[in-house]
Amino acid sequence: MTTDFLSQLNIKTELTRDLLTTFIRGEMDRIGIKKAILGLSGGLDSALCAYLAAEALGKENVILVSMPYRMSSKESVEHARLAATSLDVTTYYEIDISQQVDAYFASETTPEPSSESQRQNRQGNKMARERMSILYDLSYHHNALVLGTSNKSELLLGYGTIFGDLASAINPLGDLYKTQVFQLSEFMGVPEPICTKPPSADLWEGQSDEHELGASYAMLDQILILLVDMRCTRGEVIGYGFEESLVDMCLNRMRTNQFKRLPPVIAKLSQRTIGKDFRYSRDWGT
Amino acid sequence: MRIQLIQSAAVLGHFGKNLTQHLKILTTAQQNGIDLVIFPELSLTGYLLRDLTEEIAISPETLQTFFQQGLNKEQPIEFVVGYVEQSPSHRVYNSAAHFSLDDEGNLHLIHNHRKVNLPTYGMFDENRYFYAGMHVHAYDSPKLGRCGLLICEDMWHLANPLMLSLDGPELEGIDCLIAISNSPARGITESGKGGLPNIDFWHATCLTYAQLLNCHVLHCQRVGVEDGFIFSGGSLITAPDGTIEAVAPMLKEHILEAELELEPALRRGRQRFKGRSADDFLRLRHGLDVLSNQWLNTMDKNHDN
Repeated sequence: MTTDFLSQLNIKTELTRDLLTTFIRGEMDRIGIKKAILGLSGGLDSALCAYLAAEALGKENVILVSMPYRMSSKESVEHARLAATSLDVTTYYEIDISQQVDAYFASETTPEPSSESQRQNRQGNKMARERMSILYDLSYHHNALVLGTSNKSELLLGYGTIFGDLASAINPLGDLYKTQVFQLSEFMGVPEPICTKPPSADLWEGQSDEHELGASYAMLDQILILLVDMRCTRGEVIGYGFEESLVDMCLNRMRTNQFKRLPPVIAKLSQRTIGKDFRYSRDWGT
Repeated sequence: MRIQLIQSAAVLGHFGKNLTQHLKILTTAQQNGIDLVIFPELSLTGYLLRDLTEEIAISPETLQTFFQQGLNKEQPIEFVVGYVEQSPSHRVYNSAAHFSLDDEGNLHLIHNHRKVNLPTYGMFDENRYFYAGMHVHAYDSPKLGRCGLLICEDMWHLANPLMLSLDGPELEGIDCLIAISNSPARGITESGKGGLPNIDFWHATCLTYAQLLNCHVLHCQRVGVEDGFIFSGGSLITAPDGTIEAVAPMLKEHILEAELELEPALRRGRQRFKGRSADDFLRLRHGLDVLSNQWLNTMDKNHDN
């Protein structure tokens, strides 16, 4: 029988909100940029991030962008709109990315996908990177900073596209498990339909995070908090009753996706190499 | 005795901007008749300096010159600042300087403490960049009496307050413990009580030391963010009997001001709890002799093997 570690994931929501709004305001003040921009997928993570940004910076300083693809579910677009209207932000874009994504895959020079799953992944990654590209372009136009919306569960399991949805300047959600994102979203008043729908990357119709990852976030987050935060060994976690294959899947994904969490590797040649022995903080001089 | 703890943020790696901010706060405090102002750890530089550490280091003499030039000479004041110290031998330390501006407008460095315990685990990497100080000494402040000055992690190692508790002409220890910190917020799960676990721990530590050392504890924390570290705030002033005189809010910039009646508070604390430091000293000295002999024997045996 599995021991229940779900309560370990319970957070002090008010404190967490205060920390994250302090973080957003503090980092933005340092950089000297007043506005934040982020992509609204219609899902929970980006909605929560928008709520935190609006609380930290004021709704007039938050730019939200919904970027549906023709196969995105209608619900996603509606929920993005719902989050934007609930927050009453001044600047909200809806930009359809279908044309630019389709044009690339329709081009004669683009190699054909070798399988259906490759097609789905390549298309999904392309969509994520188109969205990133649009966000960074609009961020330049508005002099705004791109906020990331990847949570700790996704980052640890590598459930995201490198240089796509993983790209951002600062990420308020990166140390919150999905289960905790849910708790904070309820506390912050994210509209109920967004809180209660099953998590989906919405890269193709009917996609489900939990189906793809092979377990519910409630289950995965317990394994992750034991392995990462509580520094339990593999044997200890299995001993608590968690399925061996699931624990190994988490360990494996954490290891193989480390590259997504770090800047590119630089070969050391000189006496002083960027990232190795040339070490300065991001907030250097601010 | 009016004191202010400056719960502020620093510009990371920009000494000039931080110095300007310090002088502004200090000259305002002088106008308002404040006796003592305490700034947080590394208040003149910021915390996550990494390779900036050596670039921003200065000597205590240079630091003294900057403050001597910038202060109003008509109004005596004492203050404590955090900075990166460059020693004559080109070693750098995470240091705290306690200055006193006398009635004649002369500035004296009455104590300079080099952090002895450099946290180098988890998110901390101080031993990579700083040399560790070797000494913990009590000293005399014109306004505060016998003082001890520690920096953040120094407070987590019992040897340091213990040394201070015995360091006086009659082994009577200190009247006031000043601690300056940069504590990043951490721990959001519900397992702990109240607010941030690191702040709860700091408050408990300060209250414990206040009572056990029978002295005032003035603990100045910083706020602001650096590369995702969110510094907690929650600065605290306690009396020798463990009474909280004043506490600053979490996460927000704040000037924590209190009017302390040093003598009555010390008298009350010492009537309540009579420490016999001379006895402690003899027992400690004997105990350390025994321990060091045991340790030397073990070293010898290991060497022989």
